[in-house]
Amino acid sequence: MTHLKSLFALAFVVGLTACSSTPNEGSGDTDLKPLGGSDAQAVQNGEDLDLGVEIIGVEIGGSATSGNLLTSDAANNLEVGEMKPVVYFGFDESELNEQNTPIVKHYAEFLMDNPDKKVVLKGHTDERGTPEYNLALGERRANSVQRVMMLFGVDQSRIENISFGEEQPEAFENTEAAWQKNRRVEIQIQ
Amino acid sequence: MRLSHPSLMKRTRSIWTGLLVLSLGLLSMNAQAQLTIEINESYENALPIAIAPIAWKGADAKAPEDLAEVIRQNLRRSGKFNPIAPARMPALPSTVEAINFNQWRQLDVDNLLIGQISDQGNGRYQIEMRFMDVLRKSQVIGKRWDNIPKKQLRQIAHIMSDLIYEELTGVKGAFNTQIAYVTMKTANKKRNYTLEVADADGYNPQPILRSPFPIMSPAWSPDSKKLAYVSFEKGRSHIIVQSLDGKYRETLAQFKGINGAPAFSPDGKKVAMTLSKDGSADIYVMDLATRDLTRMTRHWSIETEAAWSADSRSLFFNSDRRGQPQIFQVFLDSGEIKRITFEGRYNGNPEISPDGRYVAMVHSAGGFHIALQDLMTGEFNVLTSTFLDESPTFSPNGEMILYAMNQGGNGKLAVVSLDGATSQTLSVKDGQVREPAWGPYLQR
Repeated sequence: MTHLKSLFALAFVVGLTACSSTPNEGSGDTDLKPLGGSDAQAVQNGEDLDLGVEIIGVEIGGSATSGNLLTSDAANNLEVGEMKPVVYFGFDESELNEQNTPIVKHYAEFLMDNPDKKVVLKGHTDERGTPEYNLALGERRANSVQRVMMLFGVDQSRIENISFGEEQPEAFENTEAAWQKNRRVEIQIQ
Repeated sequence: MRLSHPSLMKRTRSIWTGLLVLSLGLLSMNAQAQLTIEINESYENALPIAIAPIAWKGADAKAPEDLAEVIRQNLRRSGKFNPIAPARMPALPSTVEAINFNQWRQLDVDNLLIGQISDQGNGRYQIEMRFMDVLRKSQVIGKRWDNIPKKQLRQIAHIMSDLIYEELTGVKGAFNTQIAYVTMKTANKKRNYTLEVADADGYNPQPILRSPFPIMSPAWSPDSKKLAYVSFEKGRSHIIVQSLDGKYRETLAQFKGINGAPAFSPDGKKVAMTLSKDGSADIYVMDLATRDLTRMTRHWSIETEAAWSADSRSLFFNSDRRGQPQIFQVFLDSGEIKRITFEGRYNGNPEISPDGRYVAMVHSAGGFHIALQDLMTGEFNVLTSTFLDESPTFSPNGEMILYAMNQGGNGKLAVVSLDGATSQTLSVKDGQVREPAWGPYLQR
């Protein structure tokens, strides 16, 4: 702000008389002379006029070091034994059901058989509802998958949960079919 | 530090049937950003008002900005005024002497703005306004600004609009304010996110942050100099605070789990946030001076989206402890928790009006809409009827709510008055715009 204050130190506002008397019609207002600096109420120093800071933006580079975040990378996730490494949920739901528990069990067994591997569980939601609630909901879904993996013997230290909320949809339409694809946890073996 | 003049590249205007569409000025730094405003609904009894062209005194063919048109657009967008078109004006006076008051009375115009803008050299301008009461034939407001640089001329027009608005409505105008929002554009199957700040009328968009990683939840500091937001630039959600002048950028929270929903306290000394470092998502308050965290909620369910009460003594937040999201209030001194909303099956993202009286929220009893609850009377109203409405944010004078919605698969912003009677849409070309946050009054 310092340089701006000096820049705008010259700029100031002068109040002109607010006339309360009725002027002669069409003849203008004889009281409309600019006030001198003596009228403290009408004269504002320009430093009190906040003309805003100059906005300088910040750019984040595109070289992603922590995995491909630019688009959903579900297609690149390691698929073991013809079982897609993703589980789906109902709206605002986070519990695993009879259909998707076997998928989690399958990948838990893979992890038990491959002790050098780790897993990242990426929780996602559809676009409905508020973005921050969905960020928490995506985490709850990942936690839910993590709990089941641990029940099947995977040590917690081998599981990392990340929630993306509604920020990384798999399908972009505003339809129930698209929303269904987006309410998911991706199981990323690393 | 650089002090560049943004070059306004293109400006067009066209009028559709009943819709007013404004193509906005572009910044060279941000050539693809373009916010468009459409006025959807206005009050039927909008007050006629005359904003005469601000007379140009300079060597160039015309003034560098059409200040009168900026003021007309502002007043029209408020829904409360119906500025008459210059073509309908009986005369174009720029001095009090030149006004024939009877001409204006015949148009049912009670108020008339006249003014002048003069070239002072060195890219500086003098602007003078006189706001007249046509019936009493008297001057209501007289102001002059000296040595104003070209890039600040629109802002002077916003200040003039604020003065007129307050004079006629008794409510402080919110035209000389800024909005922040996130745009998302897709190119070559890659998504690019930009956190932008623009004037409240959508002009002058300037990028605060460009990133290939998602940006969420911008929140203004009360001095309007900083924004807190959520960035995924390190692979997961972190809370960052950044000054608008780019001099300061710091990670506020990068705990295990989620770090989200930042909200500055009214005195700017604390930030409420959502962290899941201790298990599930809960509300914490961080003291910015010491970085000490105070945990405000302790529950296995989701607690998020904290909003400060106007008196700073409590936080409103979203919790699904009863099975689905509803709004609760926690008192900072006692830790007492009170349920606030009971209507509908989903109420989230509370925002408190500047006077503390209303809570705006995302409400669902089917679709998702913005609703308003009067904390004094308990009265509950659904304000919007657009699609997938979210992220409500109050204008600093508490008269309007800006929010995000979806139209034809595109994320857009919209503005609605608290009584739902007037609305506008703001959209960005070739991209999605979401997560709006209306900034506080600029300090002046």
